[in-house]
Amino acid sequence: MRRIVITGLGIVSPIGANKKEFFRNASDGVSGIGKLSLFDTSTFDVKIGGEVKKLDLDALKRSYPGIGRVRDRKALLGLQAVEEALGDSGLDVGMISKLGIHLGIGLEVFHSEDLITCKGIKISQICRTWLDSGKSIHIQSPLDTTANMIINRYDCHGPIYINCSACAASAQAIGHSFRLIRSGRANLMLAGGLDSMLNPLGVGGFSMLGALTLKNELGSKACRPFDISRDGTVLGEGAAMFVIEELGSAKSREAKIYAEVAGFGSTLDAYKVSDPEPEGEGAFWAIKNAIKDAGITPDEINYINAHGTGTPKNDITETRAIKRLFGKQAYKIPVSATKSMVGHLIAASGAVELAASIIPLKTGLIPPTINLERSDPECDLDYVPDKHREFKGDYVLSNSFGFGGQNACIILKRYL
Amino acid sequence: MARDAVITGIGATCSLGRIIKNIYRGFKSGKNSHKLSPGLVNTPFADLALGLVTEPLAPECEESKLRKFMSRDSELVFSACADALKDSGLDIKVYNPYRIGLFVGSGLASGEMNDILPILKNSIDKNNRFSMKLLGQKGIKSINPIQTFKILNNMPLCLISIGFGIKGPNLILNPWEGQAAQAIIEGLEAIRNNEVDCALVGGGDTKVSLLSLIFLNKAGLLTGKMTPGEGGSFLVLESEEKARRRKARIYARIKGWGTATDNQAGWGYSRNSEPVYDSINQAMKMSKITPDKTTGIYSGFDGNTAGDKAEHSVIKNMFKAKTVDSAKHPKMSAGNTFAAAPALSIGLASYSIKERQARQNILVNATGIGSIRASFILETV
Repeated sequence: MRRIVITGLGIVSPIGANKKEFFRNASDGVSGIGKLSLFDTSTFDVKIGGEVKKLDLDALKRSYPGIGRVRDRKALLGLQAVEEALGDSGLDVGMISKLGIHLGIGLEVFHSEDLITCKGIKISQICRTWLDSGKSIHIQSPLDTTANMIINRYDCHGPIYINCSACAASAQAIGHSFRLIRSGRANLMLAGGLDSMLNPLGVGGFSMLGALTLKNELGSKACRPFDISRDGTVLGEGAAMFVIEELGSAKSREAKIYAEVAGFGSTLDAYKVSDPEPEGEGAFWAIKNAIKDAGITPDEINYINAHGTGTPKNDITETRAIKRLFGKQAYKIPVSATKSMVGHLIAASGAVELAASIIPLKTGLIPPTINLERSDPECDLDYVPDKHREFKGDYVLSNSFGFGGQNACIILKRYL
Repeated sequence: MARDAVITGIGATCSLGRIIKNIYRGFKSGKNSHKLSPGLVNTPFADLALGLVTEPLAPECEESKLRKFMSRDSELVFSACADALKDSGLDIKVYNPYRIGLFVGSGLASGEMNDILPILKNSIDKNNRFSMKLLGQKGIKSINPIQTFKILNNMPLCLISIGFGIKGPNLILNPWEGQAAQAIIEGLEAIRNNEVDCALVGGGDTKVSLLSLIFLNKAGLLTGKMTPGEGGSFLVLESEEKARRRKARIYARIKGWGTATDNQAGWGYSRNSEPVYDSINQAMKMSKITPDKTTGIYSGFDGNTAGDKAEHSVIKNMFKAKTVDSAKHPKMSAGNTFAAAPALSIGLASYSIKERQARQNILVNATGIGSIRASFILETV
């Protein structure tokens, strides 16, 4: 069977706009959550989020001349991560043109700026405003905007996939790309995720769903996975991109190898639109399938990067799924939640958390779960509170469980 | 060993009707189902003919408790899936739910103007100007939380999973026809590689709402004779061995498929015929069928001059002129159903194969807006 490895990595996150910063800050338990500055939140219930602080628009403009027309913030974040990942991979232009691409992307939100242009609330007025507004208003940016910019810049001819599977989107993208290469349907993929819901309709919409904490006063301490006082997640934004390829190809070009992608599992809860299945049945099977896919046994997993949203239901469900699968061993496996530091990056979360899962394999440190002051009695695993911990072992598991019941789990192996 | 995938159930809803038999008859008779939309009176699109779904949806959808969470595209895809399962005669419980795959193609987020109006209405100040402060204070709070579910792009897949108890490998791909064809290919590959026993594949889309039409217009896509439409289409795929074991009716075998990327297309149509050629060529090679053995073609023609010309030139060069003349064009009858188009075309081609006695090899193309081209070869079982 073909072995698949990660040879390029790019990250844009609230705790670092490149992989070096992200690795350091994630290991040190730095929070990227704070007061939102991207729009005026004074009248909004939610006023905090995980913003990306360093978006290098000048560099992006040099790489993508047409980017001035792109108003979709997540596309900008994604492209910055793409540039870092491709640069990091050492691929030459000829090889990049053969890349396949799979992106997990966040929702197309209607641009709030377009609402602002409306001079009335009659349908005819709205239509006229938007139809007469020249090219500046598109109402929504199609999901393939980012992919199209990449294939234009690099003249890519490989397969292009785009999925919008909520919180599981980028894990699905990476897992699917891994399978494509392993089965021989592709040789080289750029896979990852990008999202920013930090806009009025995104923050407002998630707030209306009751998914977000309203404890704005907690600021950097607001996202509290597995803590007894958790009452909702915090939205963040970001992107992470991976160049993944077959081991032989990576070796022949003497590429730097971050880790081996060993297994992938994908299931559906088939339960409710809004809630995870309470016993974690779908999550259990996704983890189990990933372990089977990797050809290992549960006792070989040495660290779990949890989905860990900080919502009351998710953290209990995930804990139950882990305990059911790993039995007594579950209490010995370090589990941590990257969202405690960056917030919930929705479609980008799986990719950014997979990047965090590489940290133990490359640096020997397990990133902590911050803001975990008192564990929920129903969340009784070892969540690596506050400070990083030394990592021993070869296999890590990254969990992503999406709104609507899509589950995707990826296993990474130390490359020796 | 790779396993062959066969089609054992077809479900579809489009402007030509519901139930594949009726749709096929309408299509074969050359019925033109394009209509003006009563919902667009007094809008700039009042005179635009559309491929509207007017028949009731499947009862499993109409009566579903999940319906309140469904956007229009979710309804269409859910209805088609219900019909496909019924058509297959498959008791889904015979398979392990974790061995049933679900692979769906879906379009752009499908908001309706009525969803936006309450937000706008509550965010307009005394001077009749939009106010961000009012948006936070009142506008956002006027959103029905259920509305939020409707705009999530993965809901069509999740609702089918919940509605029919499907728990296996899954993927929803967006936002155009080519990606919906890729979703079908994922189902085929999952069967071929023994990852699933059964795969439900298809798509749903609607481009007949005011917001969709504004988007298409702004993006320069309402050009030529393309008729925006809506629809849902689903196929039940099973391994041939399992289908035979349960004595299922088999419409056709999908013997080969191919896909290629057109990096000149962007959000629009492309004159580039090379990717169309590549995808057909791959499908031909995989199925070991030569152009002269192809008995029929279901094209991706939708009335757009550039896109249709590119496909036409490939068909003309690869196949005889006679084949070009006899090619079928589902989108010209049903309207462009976008993400629903590939499974609808495959469904129609499969039905025609089942109806005829003579051995058939039919090529089905998925072309149109966006960067993905795909082709399938169907054959008589």
